[in-house]
Amino acid sequence: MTIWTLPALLLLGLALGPNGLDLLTASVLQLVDPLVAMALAMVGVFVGLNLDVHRPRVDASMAIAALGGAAIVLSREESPLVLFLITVAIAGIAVIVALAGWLLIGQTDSEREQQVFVVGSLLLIGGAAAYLSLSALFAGLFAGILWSGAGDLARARIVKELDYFQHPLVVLLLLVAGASITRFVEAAVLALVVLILHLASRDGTREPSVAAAMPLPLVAIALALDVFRGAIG
Amino acid sequence: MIRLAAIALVVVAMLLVRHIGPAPIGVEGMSGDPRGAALALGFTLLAALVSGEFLRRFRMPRLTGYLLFGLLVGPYLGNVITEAMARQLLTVNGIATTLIAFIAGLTLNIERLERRVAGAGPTTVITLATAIAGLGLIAWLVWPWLPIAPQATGTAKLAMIALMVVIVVSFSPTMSAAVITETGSRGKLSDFVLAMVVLADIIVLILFSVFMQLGRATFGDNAPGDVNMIVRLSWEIGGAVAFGCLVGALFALYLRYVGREVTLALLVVCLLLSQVGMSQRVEPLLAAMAAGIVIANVAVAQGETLKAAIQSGALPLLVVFFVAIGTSLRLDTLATAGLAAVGLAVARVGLIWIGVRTGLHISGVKNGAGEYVWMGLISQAGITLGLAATVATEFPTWGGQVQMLLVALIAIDELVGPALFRTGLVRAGEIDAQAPRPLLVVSNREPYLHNADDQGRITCTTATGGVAIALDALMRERGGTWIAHGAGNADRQTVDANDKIRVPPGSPAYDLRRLWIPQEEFALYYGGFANEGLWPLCHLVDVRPKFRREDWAAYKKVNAQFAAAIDREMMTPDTPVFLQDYHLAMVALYLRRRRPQVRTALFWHIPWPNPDRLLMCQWRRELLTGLLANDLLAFQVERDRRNFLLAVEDELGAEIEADGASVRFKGRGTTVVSVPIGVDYDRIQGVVSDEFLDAQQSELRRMFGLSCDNIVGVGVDRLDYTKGIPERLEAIDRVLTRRPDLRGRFTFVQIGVPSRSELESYGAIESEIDRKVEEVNAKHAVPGGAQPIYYHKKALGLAELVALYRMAHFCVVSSLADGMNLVAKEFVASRDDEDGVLVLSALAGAAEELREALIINPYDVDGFANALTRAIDMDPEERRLRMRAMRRIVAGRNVFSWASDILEGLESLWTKPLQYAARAPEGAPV
Repeated sequence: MTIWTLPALLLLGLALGPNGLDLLTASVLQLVDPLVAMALAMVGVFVGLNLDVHRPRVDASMAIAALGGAAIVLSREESPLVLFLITVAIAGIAVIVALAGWLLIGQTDSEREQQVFVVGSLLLIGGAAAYLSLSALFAGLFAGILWSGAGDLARARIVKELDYFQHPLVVLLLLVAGASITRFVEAAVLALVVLILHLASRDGTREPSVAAAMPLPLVAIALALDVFRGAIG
Repeated sequence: MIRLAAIALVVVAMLLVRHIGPAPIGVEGMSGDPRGAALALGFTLLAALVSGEFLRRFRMPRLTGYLLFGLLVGPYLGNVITEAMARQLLTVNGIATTLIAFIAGLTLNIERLERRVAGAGPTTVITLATAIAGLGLIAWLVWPWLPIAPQATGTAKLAMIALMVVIVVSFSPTMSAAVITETGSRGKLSDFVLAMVVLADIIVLILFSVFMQLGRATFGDNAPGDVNMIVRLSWEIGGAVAFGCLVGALFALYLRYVGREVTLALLVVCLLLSQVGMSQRVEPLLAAMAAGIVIANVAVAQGETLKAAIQSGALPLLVVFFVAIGTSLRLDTLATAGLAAVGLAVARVGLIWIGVRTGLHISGVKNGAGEYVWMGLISQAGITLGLAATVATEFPTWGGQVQMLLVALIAIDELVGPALFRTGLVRAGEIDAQAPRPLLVVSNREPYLHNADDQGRITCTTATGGVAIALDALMRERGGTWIAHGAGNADRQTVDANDKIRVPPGSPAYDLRRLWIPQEEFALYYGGFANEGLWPLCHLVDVRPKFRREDWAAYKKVNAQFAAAIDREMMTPDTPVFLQDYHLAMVALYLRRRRPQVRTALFWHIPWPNPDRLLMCQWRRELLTGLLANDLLAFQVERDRRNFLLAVEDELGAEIEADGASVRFKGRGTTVVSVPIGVDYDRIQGVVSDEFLDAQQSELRRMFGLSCDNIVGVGVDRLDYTKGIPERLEAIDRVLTRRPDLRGRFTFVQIGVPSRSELESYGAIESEIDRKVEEVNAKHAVPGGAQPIYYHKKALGLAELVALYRMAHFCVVSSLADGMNLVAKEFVASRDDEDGVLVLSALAGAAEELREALIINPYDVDGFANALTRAIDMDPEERRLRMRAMRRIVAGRNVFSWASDILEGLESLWTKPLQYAARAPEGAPV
């Protein structure tokens, strides 16, 4: 994605959303809500997949995803113990689902089944987070870490399937993020963050990694949307 | 077991979420809350798919499995999916039913139907009329006992019966097509049934629209017969058709000129049809079917693309749809409906039987298989369920009861229908019920050779090439016959009187039929035309192809011999024939003269030259004609496919169809595709995890005189002038000259397997490589240090190769021209440690896929040397990132998916008409 793609899609979402032309009506946004949860989980998974379990190193994307999880949990009016337990619970659920997905994806040779299992796992991870009003990005991060350290064949299949529907889901995520902007200040802050992160993450080299598919600004936008959803959830 | 364990984990996760999550706040409160939607969708997809597959083991249809799963976990039984979540799942109904109608429309290719439907039209109309009238009458009489709305009378009762009956008589084109494809049947019965179910779909959908309008008028604000109602009906049907045609045309344009994200675009189109249909009061199902018909007829090629997209993308949506229906069922009501459904099913079968016989009689169809046509009309599936769901949504007060009754009916018909149709096809002689779907593979080289040693002991050697292994695995699964030239010195001693032997030894699964080609003839056919003519012609290298008349004559003669052998070995007329490579270009042509209806696919493993280079061959037109006698022709990469299409257009004036994937020549079509071959990834992973691998590596280090500190490069090739080995050695020479610090601690291990050494060009390249290796070693050797180049002129087994790949810092593939090059992919597959660098020639087909390799031009020695230096100096993180990206590609495209892609491509052509008139080039032997 170029530097202009992210803001362009955000602006398009803003223009089409309830505060613009209202083509992306509230009912349409509700209809695509499961896909948004899936997209957020997918971004988290991509970030997690980049962690080398043998040489763990926390990068900026990972920190942002973890921040999302913390922000949503801390926004709740609960005791520290409950907050801790909630965090453990969502991470545990994500790991259980990821483990199930890994088992299913690893043992089937059918590409159609592999695709359904990956989609199902992402929906379940994102859906669990949405149901509990927690961060889908954070839950996805844990699933991604597990898959990163899992068997090579299953991981390769998962990444291949993620690659397949990554583009449409990212577009959807950006449109919905744009449509969710209600005030000019939000838009300005978001645009500024995107620009800074984009410039900060540019090093002029071509990195053939899964991280290359998830630019830092995109992770930041996902975080914003995630927190927004968690807050209203 | 693994699947069940996974599903247990999914259920645990789901229950945990439910336990921790918010308490239900009432059905009304939750119905508009989308929070549970993604959760329910994810759970449904994972668990339902496995459940559907599990039931398949008990010969139950998947659709029934999904429905039962929905019932089991739904709010009325297991309550894993709550009522609120079930409502969220039902939101996919609109898109799913539209998609089902769209798929039904895609099956209606009018041109194809015209050839098949002589009499099918009248028979369909009469069958539907009989079934509707009969069922309507029965329903009217037994209405008080049907679990719908016993108290209804008059127009209300009539409207309910009309809607119910029109759904009950619907058929399933998808199911009928699936049975025909699965059994590989071909004949009048298959054609006739397929034509009838497709035509019936259109009629049923139009009638459904009419009766829906009647229903709305009856239960809404319009009186039947009202002018408004007629206007609305006209709008509903006419508007739907017009809207559907417009959407279909636009979608066809999108597919043709954009062609990206087809699955996503398809879902958007279905959403559009569904939403606009509902908001503008045009029948969405009719509009979707019209859109499908437009694409299937106006943009035939795009229709095929779309079918492929549907195959890959529609499954999740349909699974959710069927489960959603299942969750809305109540077990107690279903039990009551079950009895009525059995009665309804029996009446339906009887009336269809009467209708078909009457229809065939009145329309005067002399179809030998006519008495079995009714058996093909019993199946029901998605479209029936879609119509039932529409009624349930539109008329919630009684529609739900109709849906319940129809679900029970569908479950019965879905269980009985396919088995009955299969029986009908067997009785009509269109399939052999006992026969598996065997395959005929034909190649020059055989998968198992028998050789006798000096003491006369016979040993069996297995071919080790990736393609041979894949095809062998395929044959073990499918059974059939593999025809190949018997090259082992004890081959004749091991075959039976029919020149066959069951293989693999120890667990025989298929026949190997050996073909005996006299040595002189073999030399002309194989050594001459194939390897001194076609091989250099197709590889852009500085070796002049030699085209000799006697070689060409032998080539044709041997190809005709292969064709005759195939003719004798054809198990059934529809056995698919899978030909391998450039040795067999004329086989399909000769075979088709004996069997005009035969279905053949040929995979061309090597590159295809550009049209200018092809001019060097004086028999190019005959070769192209021979290749176009195949139904499916597959190349490694798009560049080769494009070159071939240019050649047939230039040389033969063949017509390339708009889709760019089919060629029409002399009245028949050939589909031309590119299907890159892969490696047996899983097998290599098995070797990688073998505990003996370390010992193997130690042995190799000892053999090559290497220590663990040495920097190791590796090259594995057949000794062939196309592999760019001298260029590689030149580049290594350049590196060691520039970087003297590498001397003594760097070794390049070159595995070179001699082949075709009897040919002059091969002998010359072997000598050149020998000379160059000696030169580099003499120039850069350091006393006590590692030898610069270790040249091993013998093939290694797979385990040894994997061990070698894993100890290498980099692997070099420097082909001057190459169809694919599996060494590149084997190296990547072996590196589960995500280390190692691949230096890959841009002129190898693999470079189109493995873009994270260091891509080189083997003719540019400086650039090549720079790449080698970069490979040596590359930091571990970059190596890991590059290797990880390449492993993703290699894992996702293994050799089995290559083979199945081609065979499925061939078999998907099964239902297309054949109109081939074989005309061999002059002088061709028969």
